[in-house]
Amino acid sequence: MTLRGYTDVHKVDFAFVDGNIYIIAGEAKMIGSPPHRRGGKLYPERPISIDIDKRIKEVKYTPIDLKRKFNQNVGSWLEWIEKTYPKFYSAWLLRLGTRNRVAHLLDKLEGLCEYNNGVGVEIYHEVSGEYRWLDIERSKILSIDELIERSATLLKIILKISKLYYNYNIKNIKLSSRYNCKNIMLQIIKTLALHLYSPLRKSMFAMRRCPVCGKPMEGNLEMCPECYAERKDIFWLDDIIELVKCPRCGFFKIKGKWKEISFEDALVDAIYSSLRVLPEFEVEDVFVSPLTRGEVGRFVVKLEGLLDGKFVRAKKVVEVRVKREVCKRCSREAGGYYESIVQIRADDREISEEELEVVRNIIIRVLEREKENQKAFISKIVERKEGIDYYFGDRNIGRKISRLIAEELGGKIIESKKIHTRRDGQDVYRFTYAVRLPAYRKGDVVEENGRICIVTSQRLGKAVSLESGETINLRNPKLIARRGEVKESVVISCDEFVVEVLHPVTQEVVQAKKPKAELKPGDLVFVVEHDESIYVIPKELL
Amino acid sequence: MLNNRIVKNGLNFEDIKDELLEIIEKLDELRKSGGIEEGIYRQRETTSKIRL
Repeated sequence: MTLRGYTDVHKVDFAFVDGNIYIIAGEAKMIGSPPHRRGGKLYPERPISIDIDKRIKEVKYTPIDLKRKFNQNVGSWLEWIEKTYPKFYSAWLLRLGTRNRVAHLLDKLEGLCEYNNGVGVEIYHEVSGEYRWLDIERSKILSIDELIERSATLLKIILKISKLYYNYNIKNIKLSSRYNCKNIMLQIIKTLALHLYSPLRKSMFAMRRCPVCGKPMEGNLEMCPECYAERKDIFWLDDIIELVKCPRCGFFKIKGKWKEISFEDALVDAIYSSLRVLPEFEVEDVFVSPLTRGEVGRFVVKLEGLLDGKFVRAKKVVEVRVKREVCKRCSREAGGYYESIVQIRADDREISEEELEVVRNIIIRVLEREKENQKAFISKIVERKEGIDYYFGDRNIGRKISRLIAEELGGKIIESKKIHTRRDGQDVYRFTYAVRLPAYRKGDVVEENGRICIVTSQRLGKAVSLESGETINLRNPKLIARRGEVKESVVISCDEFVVEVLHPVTQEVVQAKKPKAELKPGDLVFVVEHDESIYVIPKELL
Repeated sequence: MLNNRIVKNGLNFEDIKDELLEIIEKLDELRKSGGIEEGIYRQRETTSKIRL
């Protein structure tokens, strides 16, 4: 495992690290080997004395550099070594050679105790072809068991007194280096260490209890969900919730857009925007209730849901303020802003009240549909002798309305534009949509290509020929009589070609061409006079 | 093998001391004669890391 010290990077055999803080570090050393063969070549016995000084120097320098990273004020040397992290331990397994002196080696290793927090040593030697352990009697030197127990106890204490006890994962105890025949000792030490740490692992997972109420608990929180919800914030909300309302139209500004919503909806929306919830908290319900009357004042926000699988409730009191700001639409409307004009005109006649009613309904319908559009408003209505002009805030609204009127009432649209200003280097136009309603209306009598017809649809421009009864499209009709000018009369007699009716004014019997309809004496019909001729209109056509 | 027993039976270093010495002795014997093959005492590279 690689640890960064004050000046150097060190590779150590085992370490326990919490983030950037090194708690434990250590090295295992195995020195001395018998005569052996490697790659076909025979090597003599390698005594401890050849390597031990280099190894000791390493194990002296590494803890000093690591400790200096965290504390550069040395002061009392032994106290600094004792108290500064990481606590450094070294374990030694020595094969005593024929020329090695035990006392001399142990003196050297005892000297190491002033640099390490624990030095564990085991020595073996060869007696009559057999390996045997040597008894070591030095007060400062520990056995391997004592060394591991000391480091593990320290780790247990550290983990218990800190929050790490609850959050730590055993994986953070990292043991490094790879197993091979040469450092089998290291492997054994690691395994022993792992074994000693393992009860700790069990306690971390099986015996976790809430530090407040003592109930067994699971999950990643510091306490059980109930205690956590009581003591800590499981959701965050701004102390002051500010709503923006237009005093003119009553719209609320929601995420930069003006919307026609109720105060309650605007408040809930603002609360949701400000609300932040702990990842472990699954919110099921949010309740908002006022503590004071009216829209401004204090409100309680209560949240219910599952925290780490347990049902909990939490609440917070927030202050709600309503800021008044005139919305864009009202500001434009008040300033007489417009982008398009819809002119309603009728050819050779006045616009009827029914037609105006249709126009008004269309406008209301479109504006209602475009409620969210900040330009959907009428800034002005001007009645002129030739018709009526509507000024709209949005160009598209004007276009839509003019098309709908033409579809509903017939006629044609004449579109024109006039440069109004320049904005960001672009010409800005105002559009005029002149809707010219046709001269005829339903029921009017018109002449189309010499044929006398009754208009059946103003919208579609259709009429029925009196003579043939066929439907014709009106291209260039000439008005003969309005629907109201047509007079009632009675059929006196009728044959295949001629029908005799009473003249509506003089009450004389007059003859007319028979229309394409079944007529018999006594039938009620309508008549119209044109070019000194009388035309009979069957009752069904009007 | 020995590692597993240490963990399974909760052995200390003192408990495995003699066994460890026997292993070292055997290893030294093998080293004298040439080398140690992967298998009994030497783990393969792929499985050499301790799994925690």
